Amino acid sequence: MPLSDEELAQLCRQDSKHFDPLVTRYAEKIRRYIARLIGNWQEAEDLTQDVFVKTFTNIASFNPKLKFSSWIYRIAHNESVNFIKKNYRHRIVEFSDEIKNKLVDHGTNYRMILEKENTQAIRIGLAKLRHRDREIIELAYFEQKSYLEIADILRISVNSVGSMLNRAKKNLKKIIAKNDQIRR
Amino acid sequence: MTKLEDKIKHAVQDKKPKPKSYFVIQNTLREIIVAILWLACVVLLGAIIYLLQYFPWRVFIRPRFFLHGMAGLPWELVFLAALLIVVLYFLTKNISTFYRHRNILIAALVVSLLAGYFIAELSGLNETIAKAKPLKPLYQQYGKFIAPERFPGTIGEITSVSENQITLLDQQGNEWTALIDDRTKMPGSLAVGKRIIVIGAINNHEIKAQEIGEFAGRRGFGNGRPAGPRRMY
Repeated sequence: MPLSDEELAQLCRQDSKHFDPLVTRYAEKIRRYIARLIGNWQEAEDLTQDVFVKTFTNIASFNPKLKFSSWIYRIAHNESVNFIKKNYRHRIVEFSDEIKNKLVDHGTNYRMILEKENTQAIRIGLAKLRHRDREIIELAYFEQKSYLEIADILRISVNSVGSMLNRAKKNLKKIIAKNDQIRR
Repeated sequence: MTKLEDKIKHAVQDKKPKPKSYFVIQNTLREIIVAILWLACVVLLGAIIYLLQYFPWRVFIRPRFFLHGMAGLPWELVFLAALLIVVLYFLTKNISTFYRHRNILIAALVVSLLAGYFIAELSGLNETIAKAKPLKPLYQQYGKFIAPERFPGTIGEITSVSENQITLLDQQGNEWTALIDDRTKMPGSLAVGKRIIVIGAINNHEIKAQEIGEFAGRRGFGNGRPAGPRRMY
């Protein structure tokens, strides 16, 4: 039976070879997550590398009572926020075609939404959303995280997750409707 | 193995995890800072509540004294306490129980501060701190010893009463003369030994009294002992 993420994280303190399975499990997920947040696939790769270096050097601070995935996503969140602050991006983050394809391929719930809505409209809507709104939709629908995990990643209360998600969806809907009006 | 995995593994190869002790020291330091800030909040709360107990709230009854009253409130202490509470909040909000349930954090802060305040009062800790040498000047200005100049009125004990003036002795032993005229609002009776508050413009130990009221401040505090080493009026 393979070891859990949390067990591997604890074993990393003694032997760094236990870090490899964690890299295999999370590298792509984290890159995709960061790419969607910052809208740049190449930068996302560099940031993913930084996330894993930070995860490894700070592995002794990991609290095994929490989920490892929440912890590494928290580090990825911090790195993305720092990157956005440093590079002061415009609110509109233009997603590349590569990211667009990955967005469509991943996530059953999201695919369901996509089936109902126009893919292009959602893509533009997501890109125009505020970073915080985009991130919460990202975690809930793309990464399929539970409310508790989202609370751990964003360091917000469990109740706030629900209200923030509703607000983000409303904002997305508004943007899509507005874009739709402009097109007509 | 993908190119990305390979890059990550290569980058991690030369790194070493920080030792556990590094994080233990970091967390301990944070906990010490939280404890110090919490204690400072409790002491500040004690000073604020003490000041408010003695505050002549009656000045707010008359609208023209409203601004005097507002200015006399211990805003700087309230601001400082609020600042410390905000810092405490940010230092503790990363604890999983607290950020998951933000209400628990706020309730825990309020309850622990109030409990701390009552414990500090009943055990005499606030009193001891107020008398501590390095803090005495601070308390003389803001806390336990209450500086009369902070208040929108002059507080003192009546030493003599005549038709158009009253003499009173304040807590510092200064003598004040309150000048009375037809427009001065006064309580029913004024007698030597009574503690009063006089509201009005001050000019060289003379107060052109606009309003005189009986002062309802307590002589003792919390544990029944006098509030400070000095006689309260």
